[in-house]
Amino acid sequence: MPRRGSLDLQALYLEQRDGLLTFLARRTADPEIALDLLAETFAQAVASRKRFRPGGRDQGTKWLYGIAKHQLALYYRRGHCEQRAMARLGVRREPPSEEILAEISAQAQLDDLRGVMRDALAQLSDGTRSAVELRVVQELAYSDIARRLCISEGAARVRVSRGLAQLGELLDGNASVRAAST
Amino acid sequence: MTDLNRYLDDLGSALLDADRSRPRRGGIVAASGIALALGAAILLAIAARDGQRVDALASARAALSPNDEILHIRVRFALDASSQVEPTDRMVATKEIWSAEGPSRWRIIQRLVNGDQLERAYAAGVIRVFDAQLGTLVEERNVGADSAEARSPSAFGSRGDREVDLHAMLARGELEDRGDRTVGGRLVRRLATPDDSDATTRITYDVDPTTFSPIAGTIRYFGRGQLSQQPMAVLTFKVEAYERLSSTAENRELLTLGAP
Repeated sequence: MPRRGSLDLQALYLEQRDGLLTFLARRTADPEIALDLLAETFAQAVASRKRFRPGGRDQGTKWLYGIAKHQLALYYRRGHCEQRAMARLGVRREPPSEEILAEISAQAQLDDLRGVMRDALAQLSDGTRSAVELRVVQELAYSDIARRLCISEGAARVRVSRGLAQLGELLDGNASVRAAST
Repeated sequence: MTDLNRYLDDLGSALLDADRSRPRRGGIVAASGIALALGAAILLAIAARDGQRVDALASARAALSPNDEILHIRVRFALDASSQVEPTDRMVATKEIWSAEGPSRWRIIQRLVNGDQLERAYAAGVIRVFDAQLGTLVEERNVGADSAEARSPSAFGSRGDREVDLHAMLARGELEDRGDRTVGGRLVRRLATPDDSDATTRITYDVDPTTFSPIAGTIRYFGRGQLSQQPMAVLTFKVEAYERLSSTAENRELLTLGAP
């Protein structure tokens, strides 16, 4: 039994693993990367459990999604998934089979993602959509986005941040709502 | 049971097994922290025995300097009931900082009362800001090492990073040594803003009387021209963690964004 107020990682893993895997798969469109990120997220949670501060309801879930989003941001920036905590813990895992990857794709409805993404982008305002496309698709610096859209650099950062957060909420239901509430 | 469920079960078991079998680093760190504190205490005791007067301000300032190590500090804040402002859930609940010098590097995690978290780190001319709520990572490049943005943020105060920079205030002689006193049954050395100061932010800062490591304090914010009246806000802070980590590869990771 976990100590009162401490983090029950086993229960958190069992409760959140499926939702978090879908959350990550829909943000990477790659089931293998999603599995890597899921493993690293829980490994980071194990490695840093001392930092967990018990709080209100769902605090463990919020904390976990915070770690996951951090890993996701690192993946976006570096183009590969870190496995530092996994390596530090000495955890090895078999590469997933094609059947497992197909199951993740089906669970996350990745085949439908392209259409969903088009619909989600259409729901953003013109200015926000432009800022997101310039940043994510064209990988422009914020200063260049600002010049292109005739707005300040700070406003460009805000537009991109808000746009990505809105896209996240539009792309999946419960998981992103839970994550956005962290 | 599907293949995916089996795979995730195995992964979970491997992670939990690793958690149960790994050595507890905290114990080692705590032990080294105690050893360092004892070492400092012995040195200071020798100095006092030799009749040398201990400069409390310089010693307290040194306690907040990383020197050749990585300084780790975590501070918890609370708005005192005597404040004239209402507490909000956007207030900073804790600040946690890892900092090193030569060259300057730091990482700070600010946790708000409502659970939101903001993390920033600086190294080699780049500031990285991660917003866990938005899931966004913003990089600012070409930040001069001597610029204000590159300077290690203060762990104290919650209204702005440099609102209460105790290290700088100690260096500028803006606090005075009030000597030893007992607070909550513990002997502390108190440093404080002089009574005749016209500063609208006034600090009471308690440190360990032998090691000069930070313990707790109070920050009182006055309105302009209202020094004789009740402070607008009274913030108390308590140092939950204070340790010096040796500059090993593992500990240097703590200076980077996303470290556990």
